[in-house]
Amino acid sequence: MISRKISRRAALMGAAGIAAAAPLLTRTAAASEEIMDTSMAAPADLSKLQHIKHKLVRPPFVHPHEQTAPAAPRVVQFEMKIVEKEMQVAEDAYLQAMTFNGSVPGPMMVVHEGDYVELTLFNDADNLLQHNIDFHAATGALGGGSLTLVNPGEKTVLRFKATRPGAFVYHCAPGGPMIPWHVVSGMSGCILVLPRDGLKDHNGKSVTYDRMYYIGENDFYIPKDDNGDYKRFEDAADSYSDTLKIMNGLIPTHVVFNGRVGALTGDNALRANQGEKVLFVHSQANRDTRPHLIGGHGDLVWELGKFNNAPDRDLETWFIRGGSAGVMLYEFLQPGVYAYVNHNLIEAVNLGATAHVLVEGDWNNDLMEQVVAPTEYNVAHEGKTALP
Amino acid sequence: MKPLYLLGAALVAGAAFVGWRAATTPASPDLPATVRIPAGPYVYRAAGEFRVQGKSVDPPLERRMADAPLIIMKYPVGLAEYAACVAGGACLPTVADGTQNLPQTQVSWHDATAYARWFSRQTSMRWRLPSDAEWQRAAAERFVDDAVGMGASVDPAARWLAEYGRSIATRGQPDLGLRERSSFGENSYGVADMSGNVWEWTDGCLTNAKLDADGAVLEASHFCGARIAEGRHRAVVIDFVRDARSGGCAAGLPPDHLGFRLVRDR
Repeated sequence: MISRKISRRAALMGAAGIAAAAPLLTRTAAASEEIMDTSMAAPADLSKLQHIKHKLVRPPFVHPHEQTAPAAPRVVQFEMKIVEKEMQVAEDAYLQAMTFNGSVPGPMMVVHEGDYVELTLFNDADNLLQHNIDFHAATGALGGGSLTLVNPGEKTVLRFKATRPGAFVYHCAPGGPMIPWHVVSGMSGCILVLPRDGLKDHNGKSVTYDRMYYIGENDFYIPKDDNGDYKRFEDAADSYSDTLKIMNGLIPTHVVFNGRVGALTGDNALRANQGEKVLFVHSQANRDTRPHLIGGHGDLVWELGKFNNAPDRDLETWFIRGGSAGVMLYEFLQPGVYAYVNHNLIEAVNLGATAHVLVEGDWNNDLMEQVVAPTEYNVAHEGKTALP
Repeated sequence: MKPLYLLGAALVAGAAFVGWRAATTPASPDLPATVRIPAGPYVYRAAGEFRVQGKSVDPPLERRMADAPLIIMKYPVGLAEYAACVAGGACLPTVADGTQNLPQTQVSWHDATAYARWFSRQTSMRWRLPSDAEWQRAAAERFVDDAVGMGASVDPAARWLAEYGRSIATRGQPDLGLRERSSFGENSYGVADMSGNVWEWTDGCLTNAKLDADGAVLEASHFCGARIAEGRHRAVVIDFVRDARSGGCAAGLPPDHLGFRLVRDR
């Protein structure tokens, strides 16, 4: 397996391999036409700004951060390593995943409007493929994509100014048909650019959150064999042509939160307490989705995810366009089990897009009460008045 | 939905009566291995919604006395056994088939019931699905008690969260790889493969009951549009479903596979 990897990689990287790996190489070559560098432009001097570092954590969790920031912008530094690896996405299905920092989705980054995001991006030396990163929050150079194309074993550092407050998708976009393939192989994540003075409600009044969860939704396209079982592959390249056929049919085999069916249920269910305000950031880099909290609401919903627009209130379901991230704030008023779903219920229940939120507290019968527990009624006398 | 599964019943009724075997030869090579659970005391906990003065409580743990032994198949019905029923025109084909030594899965309660009818005719014995209580009795220490162990005075949400936690813990992680007969070992009675990764259909229905303060049943009703599938946890599954597993679930945890074994009346 290892030797196969090395030889494939050598074929991809080396000139001698061009003939052998022609289809893949032409596709990556298309990307190199988009490559640029910025060294001829006048330098920006950020040496006087405060530099801070955040270590990224695995979703659905988010690294520690302040909800409001000091007036002066800062340079916020992150490190991320791209890792290709097989991941289990359902009990009976595996994906040759491509990941930002080893997780699907990639980790959430939090900065403030006006800050400079400085990312050091490593492409693991054991990887097969070229990768890059396109930040929807960034301006120019294909979102940074044309400055960050790294081969296995290479690193790059990108800095961009976070000029617009909101939640934004980032994803890999290494050129041509590699783009959708890398994205549906797991290479997307989210950056949250908070207003410097924090979030505001519909009246412009400050709001804070007690917890934040990052829900990254992915659509996967896993080929099946002749027996109807999901196929497993040696490596990402091995999976490409079969996967492409399913992708181009546009019907995902799995639609999941946090990279896997059941990743946010059971022992891994999200948790909150009654009375807490929880910020849910939901991204989907490739396909539309419609989050809904069963038993709850969206108190404040930035459906488009951008904080210069006033939030909508009291929503039942909100729409996340493919290639965007939305933000919802909800105060849990009632304890119990909540299901956070993609309200295409086929996708939620049969394809996987369900999370659970376990909320502790005291039940409030004013909000809801079971006045009569399910009980048999006398069909001869009761139930006659209901129908028109 | 009714007409859908009455179709299965019509097929069974139309099937020819095949063969006759002495009802007193349990050791016949054509008969499946069975285990005799001796008469005696056993404990039983019903499934369903039990209330004391309108408040949810665990169904009471009943100490019962069985005055007769129970004869139950040692193994779940296998692929080849079910295939014979399909070949005989008395069972509907299903996607799980083949020649391996595996339990039959992808069967509904109606499929299992049709098999029992056919197999009874084949053997001139009375075979049927076990009741929920019979399954618990035969499972002995393999029965996973699903009591939450909280009184009626607890906050409803706390009880709900406790049930969620308990079901996560007892249900365990999904395990979809089907195993050959005996892979999950025998219980203390010698019944094999109970509470492995094949949940077994029973004739058990959901019970709604009101209890008095001492736990005695004041009144009870039963709903049989869903049946109880027993395994690592008790799943309530609509009777025409063959595969209860799905990607996610608003509440409740699905079985890995649905299969069955039969008991024999004397």
